[in-house]
Amino acid sequence: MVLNAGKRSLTLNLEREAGARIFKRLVTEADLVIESFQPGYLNKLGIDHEELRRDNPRLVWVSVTGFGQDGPYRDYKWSDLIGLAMGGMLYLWGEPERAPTRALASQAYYHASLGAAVGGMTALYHARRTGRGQHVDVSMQEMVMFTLAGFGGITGYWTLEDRNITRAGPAINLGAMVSRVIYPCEDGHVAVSTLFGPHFPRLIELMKRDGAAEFLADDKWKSATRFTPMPGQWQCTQEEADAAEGVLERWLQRYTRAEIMQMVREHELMIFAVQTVPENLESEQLKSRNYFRRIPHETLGRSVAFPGPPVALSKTPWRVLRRAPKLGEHTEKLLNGNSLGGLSGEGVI
Amino acid sequence: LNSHQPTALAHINVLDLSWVAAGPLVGAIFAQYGATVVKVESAVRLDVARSSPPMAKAGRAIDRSAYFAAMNLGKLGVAVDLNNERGLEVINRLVDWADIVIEGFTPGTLARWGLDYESLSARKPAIILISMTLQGQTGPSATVPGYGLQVHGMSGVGTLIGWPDGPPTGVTLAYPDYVVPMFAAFTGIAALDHRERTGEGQHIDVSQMEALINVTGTAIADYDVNGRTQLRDGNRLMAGGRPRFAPHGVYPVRGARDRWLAIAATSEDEWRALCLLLTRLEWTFDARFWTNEDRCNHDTELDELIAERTRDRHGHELMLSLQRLGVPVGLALDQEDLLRDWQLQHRGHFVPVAHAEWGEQLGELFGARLSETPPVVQRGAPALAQHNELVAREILGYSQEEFDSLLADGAFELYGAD
Repeated sequence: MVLNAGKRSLTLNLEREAGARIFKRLVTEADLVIESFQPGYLNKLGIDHEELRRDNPRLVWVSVTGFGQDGPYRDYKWSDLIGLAMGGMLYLWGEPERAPTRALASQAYYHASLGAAVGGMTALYHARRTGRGQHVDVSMQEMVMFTLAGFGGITGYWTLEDRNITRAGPAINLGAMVSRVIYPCEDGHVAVSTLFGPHFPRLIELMKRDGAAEFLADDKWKSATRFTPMPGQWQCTQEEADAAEGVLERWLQRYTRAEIMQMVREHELMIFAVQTVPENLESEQLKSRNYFRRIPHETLGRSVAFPGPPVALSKTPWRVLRRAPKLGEHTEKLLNGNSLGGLSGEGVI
Repeated sequence: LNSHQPTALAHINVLDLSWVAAGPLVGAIFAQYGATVVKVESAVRLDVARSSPPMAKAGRAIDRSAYFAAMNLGKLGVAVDLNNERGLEVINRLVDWADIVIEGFTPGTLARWGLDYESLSARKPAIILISMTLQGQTGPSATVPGYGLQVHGMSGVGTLIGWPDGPPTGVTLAYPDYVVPMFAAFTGIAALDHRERTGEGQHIDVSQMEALINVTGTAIADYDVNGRTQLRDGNRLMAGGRPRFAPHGVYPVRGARDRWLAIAATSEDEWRALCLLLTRLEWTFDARFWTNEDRCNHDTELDELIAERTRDRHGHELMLSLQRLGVPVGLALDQEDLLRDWQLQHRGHFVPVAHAEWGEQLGELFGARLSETPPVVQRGAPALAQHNELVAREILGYSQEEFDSLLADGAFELYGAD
């Protein structure tokens, strides 16, 4: 329902010659085709995008696969879990002494689809300007790699520092330093980014107020950093940082997420409550931006909440036009005049 | 300034005023599709990314960050003081040159320099401004400061990653910083397309929080329709509150380091091939594992049995053999593996490129390969202030005397002693 909102649905058996023929006819008027079959499958059915682009030179053809259209893994089977593994993300998710873990909402699929959106939109833009379409070959493995830290921000650990970074549970791993991000509190978890950031002196004051600052009460901690020290700062060791994180952990457990967020607002702390996904439906910030949208769904007899625009465009705003289609809902309308009656009996549609 | 490879955005100029990661990566994507991107930095208040590991061994300390280099691959780099009157004049000339401006300041900050969208569009209606913030330009939390990692927490993504009996995880890297830029990039190109047809620019307001919630869309609908709060569950693939397939997990394989093989069997053929290759064909006759539903009902037991069989096998060998039989499996590659991976090598994923301070930077290509206008690595990431003169003279058309005077006045900056 979420991944197909706004679309129309047509069912077609491409393995029948008549089905492939209808498909090719549709493609002659299309700007964009998106497919995610194993490489070579469509060619076996006589559907060749290079040939189709000769008839429709503006056509942009986007292929999304696990590993791309060529190379030694071309025929490998893939899924979200496999893409995460082979793109290097799985190794970094989960706890250090246990098996790596995926995300419950399939993230590698999103990485591949975002790559297809960027590449497809670029090709479409190029086609509109020049009249020339092209093939966009998206590799899920490479798109997962992009989400590790852009264009090479992680492989540098091996090439430059001779180390692999590994998953660190609730912490960020920067090779030479591991910094705790997620801390338990009284009723859940909170996320703290860069403990020794500009908010650290204010955090220490709050801990002192509760008599919970322990050794952090020493003023020298207000100018601590884990990075190369700037003027006026001193660089603490991993052991010192771990100990400081322990003090923070003990203090945070005195409070609920709501109480911590109150202190965050009053003292500009760089801490956020870790919310479960549905808790965001109640977020004042998201409500004020009219983020979530509801679309009526007659089969369910109610409306369904959707994430809204991932990005707000001022002149050409994102819209969700209609609920996801039922299977084959628009077949007849889309193929109007193609002597449907005969075809459905032949297993083409 | 561009290479000879035809690219889709070769005619597009981008002014990048952003720092750290999420904003800069948007410009780096545009650069791979051929845009000329000028990254503006302060030589006084250094980009935090410049002190972020991993670090190269050669070059000036402020230019050693491979992290900064990954966020700014393919760009030209200048250092300009926005609080200097003539520096601001340089920025305004860059705005006149640019098609797209990228920024990541706290909402309201740009107005101080007269660079907010209203001012920019009054000066140049076709301008496209991409604003990258944690929570958007409006609303009660718009000006709350922070980094992408906090969005990881707030959005709930972390609650979906890890083991049911452990804490939320998945923060090894600042995940939102690398996912959100792709939303900004494709909408930025959509805005270029709109401009092409109408002459009209626009303001793209990116909230990292909102973009990231988008990739949890199925969990939102599951709660709204079924009242179910999805929470991390190891490596299970869930549907309707139940495991959808089994086996679906990550299993130890032989090796000195921690080595793991992901297996996602989704059909009877794949399951049988797995049993065959693990020389445990008897599992296919075992009542606990007879159908997919049976296997889902006994998935913990099954995971343990499989782990016993994979533990002493060589990971690559097992992956190749299982894939040959059509079973979806993949090794959890670490960084060393990625660099040596056959497929990535074949795809030309890694692109060595000259870096002014290190000698050579290992760039990477964006994973969407366009056949006629492929992604390119135009150049290495800029050293701080590396292209001051080039940008002033060749892009902005200042004379040598004017550039020297702008430098002497502190409009263009240099770092420290150089």
